[in-house]
Amino acid sequence: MAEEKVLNNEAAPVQYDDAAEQAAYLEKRKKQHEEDFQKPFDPEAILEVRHLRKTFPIKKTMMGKVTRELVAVDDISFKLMPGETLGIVGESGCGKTTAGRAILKLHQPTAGQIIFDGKDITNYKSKDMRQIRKEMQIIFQDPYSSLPPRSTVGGILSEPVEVHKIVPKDQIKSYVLELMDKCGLRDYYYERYPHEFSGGQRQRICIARALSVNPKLVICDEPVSALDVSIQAQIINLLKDLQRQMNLAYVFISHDLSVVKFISDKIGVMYLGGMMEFGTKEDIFKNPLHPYTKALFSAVPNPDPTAKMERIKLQGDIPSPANPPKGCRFHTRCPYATEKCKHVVPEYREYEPGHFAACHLLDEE
Amino acid sequence: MAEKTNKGYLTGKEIRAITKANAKEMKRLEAYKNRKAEESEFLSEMKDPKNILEIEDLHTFFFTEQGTVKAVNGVSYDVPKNSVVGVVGESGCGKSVTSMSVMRLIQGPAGQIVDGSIRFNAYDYKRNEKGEPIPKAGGKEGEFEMEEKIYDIAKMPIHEIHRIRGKQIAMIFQEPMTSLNPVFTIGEQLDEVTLIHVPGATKELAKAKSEEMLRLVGIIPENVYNAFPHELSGGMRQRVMIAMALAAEPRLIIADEPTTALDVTIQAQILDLLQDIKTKIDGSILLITHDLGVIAEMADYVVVMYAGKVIEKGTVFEIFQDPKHPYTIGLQKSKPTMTLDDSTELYNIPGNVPNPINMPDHCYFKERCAKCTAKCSGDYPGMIQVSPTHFVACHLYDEENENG
Repeated sequence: MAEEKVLNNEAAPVQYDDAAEQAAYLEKRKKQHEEDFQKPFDPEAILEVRHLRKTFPIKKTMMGKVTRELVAVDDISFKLMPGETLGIVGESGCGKTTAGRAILKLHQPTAGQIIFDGKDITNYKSKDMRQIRKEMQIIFQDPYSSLPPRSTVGGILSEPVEVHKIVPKDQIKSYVLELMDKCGLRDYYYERYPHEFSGGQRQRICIARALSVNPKLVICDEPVSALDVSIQAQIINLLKDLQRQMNLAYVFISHDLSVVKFISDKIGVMYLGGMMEFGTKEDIFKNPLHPYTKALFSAVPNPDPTAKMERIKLQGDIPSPANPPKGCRFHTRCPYATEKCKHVVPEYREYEPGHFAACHLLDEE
Repeated sequence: MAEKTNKGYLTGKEIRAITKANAKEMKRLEAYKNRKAEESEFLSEMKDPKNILEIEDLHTFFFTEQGTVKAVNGVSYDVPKNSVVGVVGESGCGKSVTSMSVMRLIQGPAGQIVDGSIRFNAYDYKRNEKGEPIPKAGGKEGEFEMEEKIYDIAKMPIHEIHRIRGKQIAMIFQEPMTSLNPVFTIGEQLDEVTLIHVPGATKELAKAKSEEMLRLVGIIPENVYNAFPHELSGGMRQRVMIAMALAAEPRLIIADEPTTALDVTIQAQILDLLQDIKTKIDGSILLITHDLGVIAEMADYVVVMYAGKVIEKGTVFEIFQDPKHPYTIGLQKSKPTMTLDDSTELYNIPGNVPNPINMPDHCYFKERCAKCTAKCSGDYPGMIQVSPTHFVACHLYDEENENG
């Protein structure tokens, strides 16, 4: 099928003018964004992200003007309902962590809108953000470096409760002990220091700390990547349990597809800063549309020695995000890439209800 | 061993006593490691001539002031010729320390091989009485008489290890960035292997060899030979590491978590490459990883380790289709897979790996085991054979074995 297309293309070569294509694309995108930003907020969604973009300067002139920039996150949009989990998968350097941090406004987004619980928080100052912080929390990847070594577990867990005045002062200890019990930590751990715990226990402390302020949204940035398989299963089950109890919404960032599949309701596949495909778990796993999604799934080693599956092999490495390819960002590694892919940026659009993708091949079908 | 106080901390007095005992032990083992020895002292015989490597009852301990950490505590497994043996286990189970023991890279004086033997079938120079290689009669310069020798690596003095390390057994490390030297170009680092291990090698020969190896791993040498490690991506660096391991034409490659630091699509490329290489060099691979998927795809034989011991070993089909040990079963069930039904809760093994200091006498998995019986409080279970190639260390299969 793909070969046919290549042949057709050779028969009738189309000349692409890169500059004109780029200008047309930018014009169209600007218009689209302005239109979307005017749309009313979804009252049910806990989090709505519209055309989020985050760039980092690489080179500046003497006057501080940015001459070259790295686009870490380019134009991603999604909606998340309370109690749902959104999984973001992608390879290293695809911008998934930056996206997570930009949602929390740990990085100020360059463009786009972040609507949390019906409020547009994109341009909130850090003072205003304090009120929002207790409703959105983050769990980091490395439980060894994200806990203060000089405070006890009790101290670590009481501090956010005290700062945000979650319960009256005299009830803090009993509140923390109850929370520790919920997260599978024994009560005598209260007086202990982080270095006395194993990786899995520390990750439980990190989870307890994030949940101590009763958040509505938790960003989990690779929470199980540093853990062993048997401990990983414990933490995943704990996260799922707590979600059910507290009606939490998760943004679950991971490079491990099998973990994301297990925990998520919706999945976004990112590549080089852009969202390549987005949909419900069933959409993405049963009917993947984008060639990158298909290749990514087939690359996961299957722990069954009898299953010898056919692999879609991707050649080469991920291009540098500082110098992304023109046209479709995936065309350098795509086995089905055509001439059009090299020049024209594919549109990110809805192919089935709730199932988005950005690929020229889908348009032609 | 000093008794522990109920808080889990040792007193200063206890620590001093341990340190004193350790110093004596370490001094003895260091002296043994650095001794001068005749070749005949460390020559040995293979149990099965089909094997390239036989590890038998290996004990590697670390002497710390908190007590002795028995990182590898009686490990035995074989690597047959032309096969891939996968070693799987959680962090701290001793899988890496075993491979480091094979390479004799254990950091002394705290870390020491205390007991056991590591027999390796080497293809080495024939040596005269002075220990020098004998030049081949009628051969070109740089050609020597060769013969197969069985070395016992655990008994070799440390200054003789260069006969094997890097030449007969090569290693691919997990972190390609930290294993490559950042101040030398890729070419210089690759040439070094040939210059050291081939007697009388010239720079031209070394360069030709390096370029050949780079082509073998799918890199165009012109682009990379003069590059520095930081200019390459993670996948490319790992390819360079593989090229470097291959340069001395080893008989065994130890790959210690070769793909853990890489993305899935790059991991797939590297695994394919390793499969390719194995057939090209006609050697064996000892693959150490915690990823069951990688093991299932690559390995012919699997060794499952837990807390410094081998708890199960067999062929890849036996381990994945008919696992016997409760830990192996639990490990496989707790790994989410792409085909798993995700409406149910994920199976998990409760608890943690026990503290490696002061291990109990009974089965180390007892506290976490769902199928634990009264017998489990007794001695540590021995290796029970369930099929010609399948062994398991668990009391559940004691009776089965006695009846059958």
